[in-house]
Amino acid sequence: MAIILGTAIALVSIAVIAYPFLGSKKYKLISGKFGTNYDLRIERLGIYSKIRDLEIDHASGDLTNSEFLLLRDQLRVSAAKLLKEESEPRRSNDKDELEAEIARQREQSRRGSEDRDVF
Amino acid sequence: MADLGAMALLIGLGLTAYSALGSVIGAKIGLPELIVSARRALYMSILSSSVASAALIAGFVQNEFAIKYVADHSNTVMDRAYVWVAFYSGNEGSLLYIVLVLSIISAISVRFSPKKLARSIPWTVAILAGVQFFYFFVLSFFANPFELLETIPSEGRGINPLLTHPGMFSHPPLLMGGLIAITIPFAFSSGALLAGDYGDNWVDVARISAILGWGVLGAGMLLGAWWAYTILGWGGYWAWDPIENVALMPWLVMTAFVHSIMVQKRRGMFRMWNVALLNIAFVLAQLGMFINRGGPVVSVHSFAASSLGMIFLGFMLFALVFAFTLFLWRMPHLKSARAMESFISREASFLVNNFLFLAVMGITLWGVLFPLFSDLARDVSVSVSAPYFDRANGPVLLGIVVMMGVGPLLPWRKASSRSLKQWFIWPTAVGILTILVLLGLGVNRPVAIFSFGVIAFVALAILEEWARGTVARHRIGENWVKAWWKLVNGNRPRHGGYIVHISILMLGLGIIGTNFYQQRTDGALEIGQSLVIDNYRIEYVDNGNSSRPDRIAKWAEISVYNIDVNNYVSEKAAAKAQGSTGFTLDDSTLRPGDRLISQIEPWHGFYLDFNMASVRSGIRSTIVEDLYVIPRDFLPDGRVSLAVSINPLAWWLWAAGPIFIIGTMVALWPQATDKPHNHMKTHMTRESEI
Repeated sequence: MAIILGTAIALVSIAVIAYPFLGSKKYKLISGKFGTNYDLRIERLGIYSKIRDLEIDHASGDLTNSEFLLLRDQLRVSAAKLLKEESEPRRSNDKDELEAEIARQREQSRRGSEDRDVF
Repeated sequence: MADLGAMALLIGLGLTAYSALGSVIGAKIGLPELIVSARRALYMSILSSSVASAALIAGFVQNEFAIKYVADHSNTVMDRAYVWVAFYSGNEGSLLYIVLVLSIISAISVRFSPKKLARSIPWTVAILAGVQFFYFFVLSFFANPFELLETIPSEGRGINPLLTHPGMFSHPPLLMGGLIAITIPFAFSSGALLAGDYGDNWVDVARISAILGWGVLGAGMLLGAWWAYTILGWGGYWAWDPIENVALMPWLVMTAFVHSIMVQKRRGMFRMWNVALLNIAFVLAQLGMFINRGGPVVSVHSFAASSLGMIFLGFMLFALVFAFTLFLWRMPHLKSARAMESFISREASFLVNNFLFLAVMGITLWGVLFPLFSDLARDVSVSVSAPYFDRANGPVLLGIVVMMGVGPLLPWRKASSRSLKQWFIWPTAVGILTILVLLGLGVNRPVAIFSFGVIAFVALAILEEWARGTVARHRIGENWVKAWWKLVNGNRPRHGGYIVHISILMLGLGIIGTNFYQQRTDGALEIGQSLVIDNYRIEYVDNGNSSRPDRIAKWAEISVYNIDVNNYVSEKAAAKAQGSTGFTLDDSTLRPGDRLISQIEPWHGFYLDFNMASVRSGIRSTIVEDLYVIPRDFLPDGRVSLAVSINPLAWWLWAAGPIFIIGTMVALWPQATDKPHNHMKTHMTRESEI
């Protein structure tokens, strides 16, 4: 009985690990252009997360208002640049929108706006 | 069952070997099917370890004494509830438990890892499978729990008496689980380095898995201290025993890591430092395995008879070389995004706290290893005992507690003198006031008084943080409870950390109270006699005994009275003159003011098969102090030899446990409003793109 059970476990294990080679599903590596765009997106989302953390630090008094605005706007500009990079192959009017977004961010940075809902 | 278990181990060995090699080869040659297949092999190792574990447990349930491990660790008369404890009570079973836990947490962490780690996951899988392979290998060829006896005994030896305690259901599993869980963040950071992913992608997973392992290990150590306090019968809870130390050291490094990883997460700093901390913690965990399993350091609860020492030493050295070679290779890519701007900032306070944790770890490591070096270099056997650890670690630990109060009060980047004055004035004032009040009350021991002041300082720093945020929210219309709740909810890692800090302060109270103000006395009492210590009178009322197949048990029936010390002045003075803290009363007549407050039955058992005595202390616990009665022996003339101690603030040690767990859970709980995490789609949904 034990031998039968053990053999069954071995066979099930072999079937499970062999399936990717035998099944109809095709796999592909995340690499090249796809990988690059993906990385950019992840980096951008990471920046949004950092902006949120900054807001928490600011709200709890760990950052002064001027430091908060400075750091937040730096991050916003970085995120906008990444967004531009991600969308480079897109149509030119999209590109213009991105340029406008970056310009808007820079302007906000200059004015020290307290708008928190851009992203 | 033995055949099935042994086969399951061999299947696990094959699966993890395939998983490790397949992941590396698949990643190197870019064969996605092989990478997916190797990952599935890692998942399937759960089946192998589960079947092997189930087979061993079934062996215990069915009293299959043909299996040597079952015969050595159980018998037919032991309480069936302890089958679970028997499973990991020996070397082989505990290794099987470790590989079971590792296979489960490896699969879960890989399965639910964010997709941003796709590039490094094959390397992470390879490391996790490699570690599992090592344990399957040891289990299959050097410590097989399914080894059969040539002659089947009619009865087993039974479970170690010291393990028949409720704490054993959770202390060893948590301790072993916590130690092996360090593999997870280590695998993710090293996997990222191997894949050339030098960013912070691995930070979230490493942080969550590190906190989980750290919390489990911390809870395991605390339960172990409780077990020692109630069963070992020496009145203490932490002896700086080598096995305790090898669990403490990785916990200290992980504590440093769970703090410094927040700096990387928030500020993009300490990248190198965090990788180094994980490497140190992983190597220390392997050192713990080595010392616990046949290592040369003798301990009251190691598997000292094991001959696996050299194998685990080899694995530890391999882990050391692998981790730090990889670290040095990738070091140029691990430069921080920012530099520290000021030494009076939260970043700097985290760094100082990290150094202090590493200092305690280093002092403890030296204490553990010194006897080995002494033995090797001079052929002289020495032992390093509690006074060394207490004296060397005490001031550093106090420094860590101070930093617990200082760190949260400092802002990120740099602090202004105005903000320093604003945030430090009240905690400092309360700390000083506490010291003055204690001095005014005539409390002695300056170091302890200063420590109480530090605890008051840190407690107020935390309360000030909460009060500040709660008041701000209350001003915008939220009620007080809702305001506090939303404050904590708004930044769970931070406020969960504060809750953990409160538990550490509670631990601190217990440690100071029991170490500086403990009173002890002892004596042999006849029935009717009493032992008086401080304001307690402990009367030996009667005794009882029972004989069971595995042990002979005796217990003392003891009445505890609270006394009016004014009615015992002459006896107390006589005892004091003799340098004693207690005295014996022959007369059983109660005096005015004597008030019965408790009846306890401390217990003493002798286990014939193990030639071992085991005690259960009688404890009357209050928030102020514990009265702790140990029945050392029942003498042939009918007297009982009692050791009695008053352990001030001991209750706080155990009350800290639930708070520690709650704080850890709060810190781990996913942030509800963390919208950017929507991108963290898992491999579960996107396995087709690896």
